[in-house]
Amino acid sequence: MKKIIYKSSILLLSIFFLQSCSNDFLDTPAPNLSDAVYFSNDGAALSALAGVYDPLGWYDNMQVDEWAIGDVVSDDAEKGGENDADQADIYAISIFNANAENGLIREKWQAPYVGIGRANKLIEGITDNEKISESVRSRVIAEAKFLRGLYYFQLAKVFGGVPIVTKVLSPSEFTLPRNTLEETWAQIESDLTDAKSVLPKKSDLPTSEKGRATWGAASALLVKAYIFQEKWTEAEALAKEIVNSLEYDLEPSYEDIFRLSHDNGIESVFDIQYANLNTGDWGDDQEGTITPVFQGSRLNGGYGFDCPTQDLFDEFEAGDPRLKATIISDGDVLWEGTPDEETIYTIYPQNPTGYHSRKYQLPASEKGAESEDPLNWRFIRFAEVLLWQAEAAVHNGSDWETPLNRVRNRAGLSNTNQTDGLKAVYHERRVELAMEGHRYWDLVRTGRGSLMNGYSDNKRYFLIPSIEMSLNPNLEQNPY
Amino acid sequence: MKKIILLLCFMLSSHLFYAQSKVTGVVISSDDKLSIPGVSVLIKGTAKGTTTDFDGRFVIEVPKDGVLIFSYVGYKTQEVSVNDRSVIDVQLETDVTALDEVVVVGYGTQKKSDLTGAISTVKMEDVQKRQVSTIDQALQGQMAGVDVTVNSGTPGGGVMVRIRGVGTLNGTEPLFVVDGMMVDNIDYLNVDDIADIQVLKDASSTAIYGSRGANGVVIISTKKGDSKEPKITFNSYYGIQNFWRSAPVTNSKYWAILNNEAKNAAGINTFSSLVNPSSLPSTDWFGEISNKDASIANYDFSISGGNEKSNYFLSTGYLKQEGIVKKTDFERISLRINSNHQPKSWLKVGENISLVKTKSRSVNEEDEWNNILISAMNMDPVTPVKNPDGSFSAGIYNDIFNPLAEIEYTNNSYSSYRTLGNVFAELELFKGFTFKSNLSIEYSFGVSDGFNPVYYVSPTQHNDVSRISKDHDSQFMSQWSNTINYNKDFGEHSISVLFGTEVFNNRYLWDGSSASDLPTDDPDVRYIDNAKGRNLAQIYGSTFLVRQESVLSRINYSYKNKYLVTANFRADGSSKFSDKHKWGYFPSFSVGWKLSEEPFLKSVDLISSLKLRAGWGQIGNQGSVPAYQSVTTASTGQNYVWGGALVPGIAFQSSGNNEIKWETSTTTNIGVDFGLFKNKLNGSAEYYVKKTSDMLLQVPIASQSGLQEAPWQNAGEMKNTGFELSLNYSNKENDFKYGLGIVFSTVKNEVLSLGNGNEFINGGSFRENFFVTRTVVGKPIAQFYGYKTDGLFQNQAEVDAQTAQVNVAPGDVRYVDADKDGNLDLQFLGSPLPDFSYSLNTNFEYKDVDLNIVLQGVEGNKIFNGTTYYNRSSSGYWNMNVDMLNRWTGEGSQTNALYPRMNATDSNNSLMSDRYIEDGSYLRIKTVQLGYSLPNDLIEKFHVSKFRIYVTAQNLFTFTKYTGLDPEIGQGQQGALDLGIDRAFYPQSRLFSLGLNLEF
Repeated sequence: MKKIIYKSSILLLSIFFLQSCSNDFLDTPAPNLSDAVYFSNDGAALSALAGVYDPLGWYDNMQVDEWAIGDVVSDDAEKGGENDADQADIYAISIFNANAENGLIREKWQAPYVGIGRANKLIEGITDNEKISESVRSRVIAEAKFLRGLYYFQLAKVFGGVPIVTKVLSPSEFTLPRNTLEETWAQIESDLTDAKSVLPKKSDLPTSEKGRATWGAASALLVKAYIFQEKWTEAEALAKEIVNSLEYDLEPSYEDIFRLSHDNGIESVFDIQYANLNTGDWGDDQEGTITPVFQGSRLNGGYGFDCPTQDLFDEFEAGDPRLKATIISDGDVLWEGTPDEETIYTIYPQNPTGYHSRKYQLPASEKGAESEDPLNWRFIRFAEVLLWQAEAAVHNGSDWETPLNRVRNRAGLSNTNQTDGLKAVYHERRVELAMEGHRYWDLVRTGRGSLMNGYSDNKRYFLIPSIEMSLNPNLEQNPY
Repeated sequence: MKKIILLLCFMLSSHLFYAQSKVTGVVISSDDKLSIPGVSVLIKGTAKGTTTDFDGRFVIEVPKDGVLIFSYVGYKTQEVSVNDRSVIDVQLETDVTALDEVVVVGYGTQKKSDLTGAISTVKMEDVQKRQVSTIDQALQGQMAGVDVTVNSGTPGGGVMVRIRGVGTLNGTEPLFVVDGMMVDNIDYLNVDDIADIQVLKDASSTAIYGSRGANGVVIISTKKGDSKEPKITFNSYYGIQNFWRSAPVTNSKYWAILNNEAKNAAGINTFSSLVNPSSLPSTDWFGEISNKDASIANYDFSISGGNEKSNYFLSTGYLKQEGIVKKTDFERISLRINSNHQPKSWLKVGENISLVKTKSRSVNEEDEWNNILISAMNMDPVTPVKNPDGSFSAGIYNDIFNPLAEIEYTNNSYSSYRTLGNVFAELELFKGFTFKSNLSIEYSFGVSDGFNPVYYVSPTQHNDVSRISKDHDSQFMSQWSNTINYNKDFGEHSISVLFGTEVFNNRYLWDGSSASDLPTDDPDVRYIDNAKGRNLAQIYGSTFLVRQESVLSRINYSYKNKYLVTANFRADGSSKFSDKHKWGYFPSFSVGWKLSEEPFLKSVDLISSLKLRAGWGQIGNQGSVPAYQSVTTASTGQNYVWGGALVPGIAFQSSGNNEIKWETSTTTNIGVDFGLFKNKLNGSAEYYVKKTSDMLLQVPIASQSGLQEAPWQNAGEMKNTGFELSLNYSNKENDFKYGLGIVFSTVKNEVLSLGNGNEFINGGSFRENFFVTRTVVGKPIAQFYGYKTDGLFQNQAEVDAQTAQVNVAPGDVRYVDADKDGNLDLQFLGSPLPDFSYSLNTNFEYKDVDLNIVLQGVEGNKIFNGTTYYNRSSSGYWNMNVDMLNRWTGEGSQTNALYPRMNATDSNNSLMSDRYIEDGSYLRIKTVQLGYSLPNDLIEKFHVSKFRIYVTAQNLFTFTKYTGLDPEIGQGQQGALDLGIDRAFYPQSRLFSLGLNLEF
């Protein structure tokens, strides 16, 4: 008996000691791909690139906020919706009462930095990485730089100079102070210049790549950066280069620009891409846009936001066909003669102006369920490049009429009889690009902010979100 | 002669053998002369015996010259020779060393009087009187230094358990060990199955659990059978629950008045429908979402028994609880088998197996945006629940979703299936040397079902395509512990050595899918296969694996049973850290001195026991750090569109940190245990200092970092200093027995450092507008932080007299510009941590009637009342608190900053300020229970040994100045710094119930 006990005890004790102390047991590899192994082929680089594009489509970054500030805050539109409290953040901005807790302004700070961080991580992961083919590597880096430039542009527009981050930061670098506005513009110019020297022409993109950044997109965004800085010479030269490349043209019919079938069309320099994936989810949770439902009349199933003002209505010359393509008046019939034909009613108590915006409306057959709508946001279109050329030319004293009249003629209007170039350009910009999210920025960059009730020069830049101020004590707040 | 002697011997022995006689008697206590039921009566030298009945009587066949041994817990064992008597009445003396019960400590047991660490024991009788659905709720107010806060009153809902305060910012939950098995939570346990609970509080007692015991250890043993008569019990109760307090919001008339006033002040058109406030119908939204007289029913049935070699305990239980909010409930079916066997003199084996199924339905209750409770408080009272045609109405005055429609169209349930079991074998290899192996396994499987039907309430509250989702999670946890134990006495020296190893493995898997467009709302066909959008289903799934390896050891040494020394050492290796930081080493030491065993105290009658203890120890913690944080990993789903088609994208949303390592806490503890007046009064007091260094936390980061989630860091150090006292007094006079227990504890928390470059850490984001708490060096963690108010501007002159606030008018809140520099200053506004917490437990028993009352409270803490952000908003946008009728309406009308003027475009009065901070102290009558047991002589005829009926009231009264729904506010979802923030949590209910205890 004793023997058995001793034998079994020896056996058990040996199990007992063998069981422990192997470090292999504690090595549990992560089920997710780590950055150490991630960038191992071209496909991986492209997935990470899609991740850099991703914030472009976000609700709070582009979908609503482009027009929420660009149109609503300006003299072109009123907020609309249910009442003042519906999208109260937009309302607060529109009456120039946006405090540092404004949710929309917060997103305007946070979303671009997500994009910038992703771009930096991608650039760092594939630079000099032999596992990625040379051609993919250089193009992906160029696209990441284009997007980084775009995101900094978003920040500079809203906040002025911001902390510039061009690499993956270590925790001790998370609280860098703001750079100057000049340094921020220099960063934007540098990124876009690098990008345009590498990126392909739009005409070289296969259909499956439509929507990716091109030479033309980077160049046009750089023109816009010059325009914002009033670098008129550079702006005019580069705009001309884009025009002369013959990569782009105006759509023959103004109305067609915003049709779904003309996504990434001949006039599109850079579209923010949206698609209906039929998930039935809220559009923003997937890849759809909620702009169509937000801007639709409340009497036609929309939420009734972004209502064009009488002032904008009156800006159109008599007989300008762009009016009907831009502003819906009560009883207008859309999609006439198709099964989607729909009469739109715009007069109801909550509508502050009695009008609705036309450009981002979709016929029922093209709409997604539950606001998951397709239809790209026209971020830069060729007509705007022509108008930048014209605006720069006015300042440079060169030929502004040709590009401006090209825009007018497409709409079916005769050449301008306006002799004051600046007036002509400002008018043309307002009507040609109406309800596309540009007006507010045009007014403030050209010193015409006083056209807006409640604006004063200290409102030029918005307050940095209080939450960011508290996380980074080195940030200096804007006046507002 | 020889033969005669032989014969005599034979006769004598046969005489011995055959001379049995029946002996009866009564066992009473020498103290109070009351009979003692359940006393073991054993014939010396045999295994034969019986126990006394409820009147202390026994009957036994015993040799005329035999010896009977009477023993009972808490009394001195007595041997009595029969000496031919047929009636033997015995008086048992109370054992003054009654403290000497055996308590379960880590990987073994110890005599309570030999403990050198801080360990609290729970009286299960008291706990089982609480009618709560989970055992952790029942622990509230039972032990000094153990704070239990009910985070949510939703049926089966969450509980926050803190042992000795918040010791760290990371993983503050204690470890639960059930029958030797470490588990994450104990909500699966049937309260009636639990035999006893021990809580290890200081480092010297928890060190044996190493890193897993950093926040204290709760050791739970489930019931076992014994060799007495088999026992059958049936327990049941039924009760109804209601809100103990309702929301103090205005009706239509007053809300319309305030809303109009706000609009007028801002120069905005008022709602035409609100022009005549007194003619408006009113909806009581809070009443509408309430499930009045929600029922709770519990049934529990168990059998236990056994013999010298084997025993068993079988039980099954069923609990069904409705919530006080509509469409919330909880159901649990449980089954348990425990048995122990001794097949050989040197071998013991046994197992505990438990199967549990729970199913719960809950509503969104945690976020401050649109949880059901906050929606009901914020929804305007003018909108009716339904339109005349029966459809749900849409509110037109604000953007709150119709809460009844939300409830109606939400179909979420979660079912969990858990199997937990352990098997153990204990070999006594030679005397005093035992080897024990314990293998525990938990397999659990959870299914979450969701269905969102097609509906239309308003342009914003609608769903155009139905959607179904099904999510699964499964967990396989195994733990194998092997220990050798050696006990030996050498004269006056006694030594006990424990050495062991342990491996722990936790594999967690999850996946889920959702698809759109089910052809009908029929609940029977809610499966993905029936969805028309099945080919476009969304799917996800992944896993994690966490492992740990440990070597543990302990030495207990005592000299003359007076001087006690314990030393522990444990090494833990964790898979969560990178190779260079995997292992942590944690020692502890403690000493004890039984003063009452010294000659100079032995003669003092007043003192029955007295022991001093002191200990020091270090423990590691990896708490809530998820797996794989040492590497930077890609997240999928960051998609974009190219050429009209989806491009799956990835992003690195956080940043791995391969420098993270074990957080270490060092505790020094001194304590005293005492018993006075023959232990009628006993108790213990503790003082400790616990310092946590290299705290693991996710320090919130600025957006410019480019990261969407903060990386983990070892940052900072904090200190908890605490004092704990527990006192128990029990006595009986004739038929009247009574007991009083007091528990008191206080913890002072101080942050000593926040690591490199962190001046402060914000916590508890509210509406993404501001952080509610800030943690800085030199103060306790998570202090409320914002502006201090200084009343209201009474007139334009007061407004003009300052420059710090612009766009303000008379009637607006004035904030303090402490340094008079023309800018407002953010300041600390109070602490969510209480100064002290306490409870009082009383028992009375008179003949067949018993009464038990438990009071529990905290004092000195503040609460951020998130509901007042809305209900005292100047905007009048949401429904208003009735006290806003006292708002400022003109100079001198109101000076309290809580009630500023109405102004629809206000952005001044809503800043994070002390307007939202309230006193959170409360005293709650947790339980009142009155019971009546039918007399034994009556029930014995029906072979029933116990028949008790009782009524219970739970949360009968709450004394508090707090104005929110419930002052018990635990930790929010955003982690350890999200403390004391009331986002309209699901409050606890007031319960009245009727119950029955039956025993055969």
